[in-house]
Order: sequence, then structure tokens, then C-alpha cells
Amino acid sequence: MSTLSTGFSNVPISRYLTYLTVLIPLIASLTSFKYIFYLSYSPFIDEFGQYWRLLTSQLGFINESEVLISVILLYQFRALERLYSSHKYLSILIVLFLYNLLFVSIIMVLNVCIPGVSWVLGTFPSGPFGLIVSLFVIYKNFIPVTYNFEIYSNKTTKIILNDQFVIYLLIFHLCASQGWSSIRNGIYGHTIGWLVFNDILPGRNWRVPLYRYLNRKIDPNSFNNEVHTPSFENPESTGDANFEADDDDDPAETRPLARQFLDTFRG
Amino acid sequence: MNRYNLIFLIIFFTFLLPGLPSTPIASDDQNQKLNLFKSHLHQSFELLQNSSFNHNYGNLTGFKLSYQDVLDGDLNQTYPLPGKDYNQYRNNQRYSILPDEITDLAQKVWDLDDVTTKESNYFTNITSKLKGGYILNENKSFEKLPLEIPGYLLDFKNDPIGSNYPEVPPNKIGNITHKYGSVNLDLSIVEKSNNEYFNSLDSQIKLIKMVIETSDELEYEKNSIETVGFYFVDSGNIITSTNSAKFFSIYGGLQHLTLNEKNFELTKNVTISYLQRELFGRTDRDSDDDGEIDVDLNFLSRNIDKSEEHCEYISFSHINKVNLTKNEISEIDQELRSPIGRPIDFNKIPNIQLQGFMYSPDCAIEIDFPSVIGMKHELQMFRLNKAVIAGIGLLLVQILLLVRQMSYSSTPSTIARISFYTIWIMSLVDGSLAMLYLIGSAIFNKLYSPLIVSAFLSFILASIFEIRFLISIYVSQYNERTLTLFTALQGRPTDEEQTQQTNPPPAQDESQVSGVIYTRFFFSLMIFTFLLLNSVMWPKTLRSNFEKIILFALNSYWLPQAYRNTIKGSHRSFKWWFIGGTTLVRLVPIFYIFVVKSNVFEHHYDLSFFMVIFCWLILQITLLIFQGIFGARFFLPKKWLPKTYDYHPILSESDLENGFGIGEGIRETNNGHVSVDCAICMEPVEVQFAKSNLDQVTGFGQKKQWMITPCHHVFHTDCLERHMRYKLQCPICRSALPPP
Repeated sequence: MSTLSTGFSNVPISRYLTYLTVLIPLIASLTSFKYIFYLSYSPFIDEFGQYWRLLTSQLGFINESEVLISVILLYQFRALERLYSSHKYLSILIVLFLYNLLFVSIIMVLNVCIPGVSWVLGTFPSGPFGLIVSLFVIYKNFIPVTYNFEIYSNKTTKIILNDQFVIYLLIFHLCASQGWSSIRNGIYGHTIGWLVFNDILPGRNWRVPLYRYLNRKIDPNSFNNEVHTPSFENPESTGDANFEADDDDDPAETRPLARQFLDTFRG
Repeated sequence: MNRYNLIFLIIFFTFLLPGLPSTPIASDDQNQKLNLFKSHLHQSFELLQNSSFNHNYGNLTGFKLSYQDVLDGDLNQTYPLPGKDYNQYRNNQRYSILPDEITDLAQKVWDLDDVTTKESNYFTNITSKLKGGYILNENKSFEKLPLEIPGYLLDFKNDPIGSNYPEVPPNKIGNITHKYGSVNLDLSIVEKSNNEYFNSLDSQIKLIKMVIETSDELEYEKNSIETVGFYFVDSGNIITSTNSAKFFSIYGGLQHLTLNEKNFELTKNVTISYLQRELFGRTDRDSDDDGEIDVDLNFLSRNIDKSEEHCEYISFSHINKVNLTKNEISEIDQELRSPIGRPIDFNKIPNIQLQGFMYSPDCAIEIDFPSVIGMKHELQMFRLNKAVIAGIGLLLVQILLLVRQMSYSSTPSTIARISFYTIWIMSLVDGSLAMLYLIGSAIFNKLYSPLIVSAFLSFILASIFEIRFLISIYVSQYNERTLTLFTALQGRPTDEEQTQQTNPPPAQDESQVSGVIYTRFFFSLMIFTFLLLNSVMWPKTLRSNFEKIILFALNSYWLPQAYRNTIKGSHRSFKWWFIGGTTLVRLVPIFYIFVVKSNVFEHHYDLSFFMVIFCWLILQITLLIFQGIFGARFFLPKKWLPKTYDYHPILSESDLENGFGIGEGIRETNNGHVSVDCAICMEPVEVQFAKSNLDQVTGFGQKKQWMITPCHHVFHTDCLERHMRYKLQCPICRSALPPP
């Protein structure tokens, strides 16, 4: 579907986002704290006054299928990170997340102010539906269609599809997964994405400050060693020059943890 | 994994997994008796449906004689008794099976506080485990009510000795003789019956099951009595009783003992709807109203066993009020059942407290529970969940530590220093933990996912990482000369021994070794786990001693390492962060169990034993640290020490003249310095030598700059040590090097 290399190489933000999408629900379910993702006007806001749920309900999905679909989508959206650079991608993510949070809060204020509205607008799905749909808006505006293809049912009718139709399908599936509430959240997300993309809402050009500094701290290899000389002594090193170039005389000291894990099985 | 391992594993799991439920092989005779029993049950059920409070029990097994009848010397359990009035019932011993004193006592317990105010109410859901003490009431003596098993069941098991005994055998369950002891009450509200919900949250009367476990202080006499009964939510009163083939109390007998007509009607209706679901589930097929009861031979033989081996008991008790409104109580119950994050502080939910007594008609024993107290079951589960989650964290830390250590000790010379038994002990502990977690996940349904994750992690830790490590340690140390402490201390230089060695053992490859080690590991793991599980049932003193010995032994894991250091004369084995981290990870659970008083495992408080373990570990680590600082054999007297090869010998001029291998490339400099090229880094090495044997080389530190191999080659210390991590072989002449 795209010309990107498989895996999350050189897209650290997408990688961490995917980790979080999987790990947050997993840990919540293991510790039986899944309920912090629930949000509805009644009883959480009007009775208990738990306003922190506005934030937590945006953090984690509670169904496996939603986690799976959003992981697939985030994997596709890594094209956006390659296009934007990690810094810009992270910035737009944060901006979209905050706008979604704000939007949900405004809806909640509506609920508080107008008495009868809560049976229409009072329920919210658990998970970052809005954020993903907003990202999708940015994605479809920036990532061009690579090819179209046609499906003929008989001689007169045909369906023209493009390479992105799977993503449209998945977005639809995701939004429909929790019924009315998640469809509504998808619409909010789409609106926000559109507004931000057309510069009606400010923030598209905002950047995370101190990103270079942070990045160097998190991932020291990514910045300084941009230009790698692939090691020619080792013919096995094909794709990932990052790994093998670091091999000095003491490989044990510098192997990343995941590799150490795997090496244990390889023997 | 080879074929033998697979077979072994299959056998292993065959033993572990539960088999099919065993049904006793039924003879025709037994089947006939089963049918009789079914119709007997059905008859009793009809009796219950038609009963009313003001009528006597009627023809109900176990309730045919009243206490007064027994006092009058009437021991013949027939129905109807001549001259007995069956159309009346009063709460006295003329009609009831309870003596008047017991009835009065029950009335007293139930009337403890009868006013329900708004501020304080009774808990609705009382599913919990309560602990307390019991007192055997020896002041009053009662007459034994003869309860006999129905005649047609007498020789059900073709064992005439077991079925008609004249007296209560001394080992009968529930025949409590110790005056004081502890009692555990396991209260549970019946929530489901035949997969249908029962006892809705707001119903005013609940069918409950109560398991009463008593034991004296030293646990010589342990009893476990299963009872079924009712909880009256608006008065906080509980009545339960046992059921068996000789005591059909749930079919109307127990209901009569609820002291008034209102209670009788309530309990009767609950019982009928329960029994209809549980046993008489098929009666709704209207045509076949007659016999289909969901009862099999297991049920029957269990009932017969119970009636032979147990004393029958009836218990009356009363729950104390808690300072919560009804609304708060129902909120708490809903939150505990399906948490959505209501603003409830779980720490402030009060405990359930209960007082009461139980009385056995056939053993004539009365036992008081002055105060039994405990936490709601769901809260207990939450606490357990927290403990298990913390355990998962510890397991993760241990896995990370081990993986890092393994990557550090991946070379033959580093792995040769590591003690096999240190890792062995750890893997034994982790493996048995995995087994216990696995069993736990089968028992605690609500904690299934955290427990199964823990089981998985500890299994990974034990059987993959640690066993893997063990295999590579074993392989690297297999060809080692069998060096015992004795030969090590005899003081022969390692070189000499090499010549004496006659038959080097055949080299084994990793797959062979892994088979051996996996087999051994799983075998010892199985034995150890069975021993642990078995020990739970031992008497208290034996059990606590066993626990202490096992814990002490399992916490000696650094001792084999210190021993190995001594044998090998090396001091760098594990990294210090691994030693510290592992000790901490393995000490935290022991600390929690022994020192935190309100721990979820209900283990008793024993600070002194924890201190023993703690000091023992500190001692071992100190030993390792001292070995690191002063050399591996610092605690042995000098003359015992074997001569391990010294890589930093003091060179004298005569050595130099003997052509100390430094022949070529030698550049003599002035005043006792020789400059040689290190073959590894090709930089010059400054070697110092003494002018004569008496002369001292100037500095100890300087001497450590270079190393001289037994084959007389000189290198920088850094260069050769780095090389020796990979190969114990001289880089120049390829002769073997002794480990540093």
C-alpha cells in the first residue's frame, strides 16, 4: 500500500503510540481498573463530579477489536510521520488530542447547562476515537492515492476503489463499534481534523518545544548518527544499519533489551 | 526438545490435570436404592410444600423425635409415634428437636438489637470469610438425639460396620472436645442455582451457605462443617444447619426453628424456589411430576458419608450493624459487584462481625462464637489482586535482571565462574511459584487473569531463562576437572593437575545436556511442589518448622556462589546490581508475609524469623563482597591456599636471563624496566623487574599493569582480560590459560 519499509523503523512516535494503545488497555484490564475509561454525563458528572474522566476516557479503548483496528490504522499513519518528521507529527498529535479533549468538555458543559440534552449527548465512548479520526483527516489530505482499481460486477456497473479504501473501511468500522456514542465522537474528530487542517483552528504550526533535547535523551542513536556507514564486514546486516554499526568489540554491553531477550532463545 | 522430554511432559501433565469426575460403579441394588432415595426426597419436598408453622414436622427424616421424646426414653424413630400430637407446634422441647435452653439462647442471640435506624443497618451481601475464637460450653449437658439413617440405605456400601454404629466414634467430624480454639466461618450467599441468578441484591431473605471450620490451637483437631441456611437482611439474623441422609433439615425442619410464623413462611418460600431450581428442576415438565430429580449416586453417597462421619449442627447467629445508610450499603454492593468507579473509599467499608452459637443434636455439643470478624469477600479479593499485581512487577524486574546478567555472562570464561546451584535454587523457587499460581488461577475465578499472567511470567522465568542459563553453565563447566574443595585446598598448582588427568569426559553438546537438565528440573520441581502442597495439611508445629527450614534453605542462594568462588579462586561472578536486585526482589515477598500484620495471605506476624533470613542474606552478600575485595579465599589461612596461577608475578633478573619468552622484540630500558610489545594492542608494555630476589618492586598498582601467561607471554592487563572473557587461550601460542 505504501512504499515505506515494513515495521516501525524511523518512526519512533508511531511506535510509542502503538505501544501505548496496546499497553494501556492491557494493564488496565490486568489491574481491573478498566472502569476509569468510562464516561457519561450521568452518573459520573452529575452525581459523582468525576471530571478527571474527561481525560481518562480519551486514553484507552476497552474492547480488543478497537485496539486492533486502531493499531492497524496507526501503522498506516506512519506514512504521515515520515512525511511530517517525528517532531511535527508529535506536535500535531498533541494539538489534535487537546482539541478533542476540549470539544468533549464543551459537549459536557452543554450537558450541564441544557437539561434535556443528556440522553442524546450524554454518553461517550471509551478510547481516543476522536484523535484517530482527526489524524485520518490529516492523513487523507496529505498522503496521495497511489492507484485506483475497478471491480466489475457486470458489464455496465463497476466500482472504482483506491488503495486507501481499506483505511476508510477501518475508520468506519472503528466509529461504528460503540454505536451512537462512538459515531458522534468520530464526527467530532472529523470536524476538528478538518478545522485544524484548514487553519480555521490555530495550532497546526505549533511545535513541541525542546524536542531535540528530549529526543536525544530518549533515543540517543536517532539524531547524532543520522549518517551511518553500514558495516561491510557483516554481510548479514541488511536493513537495519542502526544495530550492526554499533557492534564494537563488546556486543553484550550495547545490545538493546529486546535483542537480549531474543538472543536468549537463539542460544 | 527431544522425544523423551515430550513423553515426560505428557506424563507430568497427566498427573497434574484433574481426571473425569469419578462416579462409583453402581450395582443394581444401589440403583434401586437411589430410586428409593429420590422418591424419599420428593416426598420430603411435598411435605415442605404442604407444611405450615403450626403443624409439626411430620414424617421428616431426622425430625421424628422431639427432644422431650428422647428425655422420655423414646428412641424409636417411627412415624407416626403413638400418642404424639402432630397438629401443633410450639417453640419448646415437646415439639422441637432443640432443648429449651438452646431455644432460649437462640431467642437471646436473635434479639440482640432489633431496632433498625436510619444511620445503622445490616449488610445485604455478607459473603465473607470471618475469623474468631470458639468456646465449648461444658456447663450444660444435653441428651443425645438419636439420628438414624433411613433403613433402606443402611447397607448401601456393603459395609455393615460403617453404617450402623451404636455410639459416636471418637473421630467423628464436628465432635469438638477442646474447650477453646479458633473458628473460621466461610459465608457465601448463593448467587446462582443451575445457571440462573438467585437471591437478588434487594431481597429481604437470602439463602446462604456457611462452612464452619474449627480447630484447636495446635491444630490436632480440625473440623469442617458445611451448613446451609438463611440470612434475614432486616434483622441481621442467620440460621444454618447441616444436611445429610439422616437429617433432612432443609425440607422443613430448619424452617420450623426460625422461631416465628413470619420467618417460617419466608424461609419456606425461598427454600421451595431454591429446591425447585436445584434438585427438582424438571418438575416444570408438568406431565412427569413424579420422580425426575437431579440426583446421582455421587450425591447419595456423599449424603451417606456425611451422615456417618459428621455430627449434625444447627447454628444461630447475628450480624452486627454497621454505620451506613441502606442507600450506601446498596451502592457499596453494586460497586463491589461491577466496579464503575463510584466515589467510595474501600478502606472505610466496615468489617462484618458476627456472634452466635451452634448446637449439635446428635452429638449434644454446644459451641459459642462470642465474636467472629472479617472483611467482605470482594474487598479481600481486591487486596489479593493488588498483591498479585505487585508480584507481577517483581517477576518482571527479576526477568530483566536475569536477562541482562545472562548477556553479561555469555562468554565461556565468565559463565564458568557462575555457580550452577545458585541459579538452580532460584529456578526451583520460580518454577514452584508458577505451579502455585497455576493452581491458584483454577481456584480463584475472579483473579484468573492476573494469576495466569503471573503463572506465565514465572514459568517463562524458570523454565526458559533460568533453565537456559543452567544449560549453558552446565555445558561450560562440564569439561572442568572435578575440583573438590579438598583438592583445591591441597595446594597443587593447576598446571600439575593437568598432566595427571587421564580420561577427559566425552564432550556433550547442548541438546543432550538440555534434555538431562529439563528432566531433572521438572522432576525436582514436581516433587517439591507436591511436598509444598502436602505440607499445607500438616499439623501446625510441623508445618511452621517445615516452612522455616525450607525458607532458610531457599534463601541460601548466594552460598553456592561463594563456594564456587573459593574453588575457582575467582571473585567476579555476578554483577553487583544483579546480586542486589535479585536479593531485594526475593526478599520483598518474605517481608510482606512475615512483617506486614494485615497481609492478605493471613500469615502470622514473625519479625524475628524475617530478621534471621535478612541477616543470613546480608551475611552471604557480605561474604561475596569480601571475596571481591580481598580475593576469593581470604578467609582461609595462607598455607591452605592452593597455588592458582599468578598472572602478576614479580620478575627478577634471573627470569629475564632465562629467556622469559620475551626474547624477540625486547627493548631493555634502564633501571629495571623492560619494554615489550603487547601482541593484542601492539603498544609497548613496561615490565618492571627486580634486580635480585630480595628486591621489592616499587608499587603494587604498577605490577597490575601487565600480565604474564604461564607460557611466558606478556600483555596489558586490560587487553588480556578482555581477551580472556572470550577464550582461555594464549593469543600468541594458543596454549590453555588458567582462569584469572
